[in-house]
Amino acid sequence: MNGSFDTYELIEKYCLDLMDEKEKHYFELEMEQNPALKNAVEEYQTLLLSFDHMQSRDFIHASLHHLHHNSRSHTQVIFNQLKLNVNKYWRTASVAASVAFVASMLTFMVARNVYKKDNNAHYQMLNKAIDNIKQDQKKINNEVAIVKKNVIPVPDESAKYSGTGFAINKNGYLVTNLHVIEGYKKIFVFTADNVGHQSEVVATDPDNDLAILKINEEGFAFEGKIPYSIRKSNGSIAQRVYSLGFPKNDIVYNEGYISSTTGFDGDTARYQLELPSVPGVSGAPIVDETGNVLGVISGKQSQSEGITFAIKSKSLLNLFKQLPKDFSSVEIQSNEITGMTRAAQVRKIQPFVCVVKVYN
Amino acid sequence: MSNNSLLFQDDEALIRSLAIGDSKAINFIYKTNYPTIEKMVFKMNGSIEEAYDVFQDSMTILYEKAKANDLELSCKLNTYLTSIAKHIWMRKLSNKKRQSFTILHDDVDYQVAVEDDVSRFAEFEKNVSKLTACFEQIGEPCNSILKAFYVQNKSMNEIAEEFGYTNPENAKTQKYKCLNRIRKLFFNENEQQKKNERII
Repeated sequence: MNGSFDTYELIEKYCLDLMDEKEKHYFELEMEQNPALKNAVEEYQTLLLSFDHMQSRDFIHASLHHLHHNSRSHTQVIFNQLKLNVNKYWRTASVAASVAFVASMLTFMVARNVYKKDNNAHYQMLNKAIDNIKQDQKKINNEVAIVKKNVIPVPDESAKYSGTGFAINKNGYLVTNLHVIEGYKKIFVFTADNVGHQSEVVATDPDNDLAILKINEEGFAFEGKIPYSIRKSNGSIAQRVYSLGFPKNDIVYNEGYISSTTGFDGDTARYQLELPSVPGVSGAPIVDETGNVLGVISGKQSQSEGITFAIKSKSLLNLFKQLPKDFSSVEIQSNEITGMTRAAQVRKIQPFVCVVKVYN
Repeated sequence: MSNNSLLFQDDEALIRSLAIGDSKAINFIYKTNYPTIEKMVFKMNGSIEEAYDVFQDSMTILYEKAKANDLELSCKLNTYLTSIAKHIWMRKLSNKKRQSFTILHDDVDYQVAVEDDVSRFAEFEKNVSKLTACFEQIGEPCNSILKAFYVQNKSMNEIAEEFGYTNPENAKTQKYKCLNRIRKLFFNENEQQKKNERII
């Protein structure tokens, strides 16, 4: 269809079946010899079919809309019937329940009186036994406490998968991608001092590929306050951003810009970034120029270099609702690095970005 | 309402009326099938709104097949429509949960036919949403001219008059330009979709 207006008229005539036999025959011969024409016809047909479908769909939707909104929902009727039934049998059911309750109380009281008589003789001994149990329990508790203080060692084997995570709370809460940790039993977070800390998953959002981990060690805390904040509003197109991640054992800095405010296939929950990314940076924070985290790296486009997708920070803030009560988001509401140079910002952020490694 | 059953002698008569967009036929099919399909979707963890969507889609498939004279029923119309609805809902469920379900059916040929109808429909739906997005991008007057000709089936004479062109030939040239623009948008996007997102 790249051709002239005349070619287009012929194509339309052919597709709408307006040609006579002879004309049709010649056109089909021409099509066989000219692949470009054939392709154009196919494109035109696809478009025509889509137009047709749009028309049928609009027609049915409009007709049904009129019908549907004038009649009452059938399932609503079933619901009401259920309610009626509950009302009808409520009396009978409550009488039966009361009878059962009284009967069981009577049985319990009779049985108790029978046993009470010869139980007194054993009372002293039982007491002693309970004391012994108490002492044993104290011992066990002490041992548990000792074990808890000891750090669970990192497995000897090599990690199955590695990604990046960043802290959202001084007490060891971190964000990473769900795909980094999904399906693995042991999760270890390596802090800047290269010490592995055993961690557990505390919240997940499968739709947005997000997971929140908590370092499982008593008394664990990051040094100092989290320097960045998490942005509540969306970033805008062309805004400059940077990321810190772990494609290798050492942290790597990268920078780029938001090239689209929607991700792969128009996904509004993600950004498309012009920013280099390599395996291992999944879960890395995307930071804007003033030091606010506005997204989490999740993937890249396979056939092009430099296109990276990041989950918007809004989904992350939503996920915080799933966290236990001891989690406080006060720290990530203010930002300490707004006015700093880029290098100073990165130096501040670096200790809060970790490697996440998983083992079977 | 009870007269409705007298309106259509059999399924064939009903389908013939549906094919020409007879509102009585649509009304009859809605009344006789919607409750069953709503109940079915509801039982399979769907909401009432979702059930209505599924019914709309099933009805669109039925209408398109009736219009194209492509409906050879080996069973009752009700059975066919329910089966279509079930497939649509299973498809939506499996998209939602990222799992795949398969429906066991005694008659394999019949199942394949229904599956084909549903997947062709899904393909159409995808194209329509793409087309809608393209329409938004091309703006006026292209948007209205194309819709007037291809969706509302107006003649070139009517369009020329409506949009103030001096003659149908001018309107035709404009329509050609518009179609070319939407074609470029539509198929370029197609290319982009072929690229896949990869986890890193």
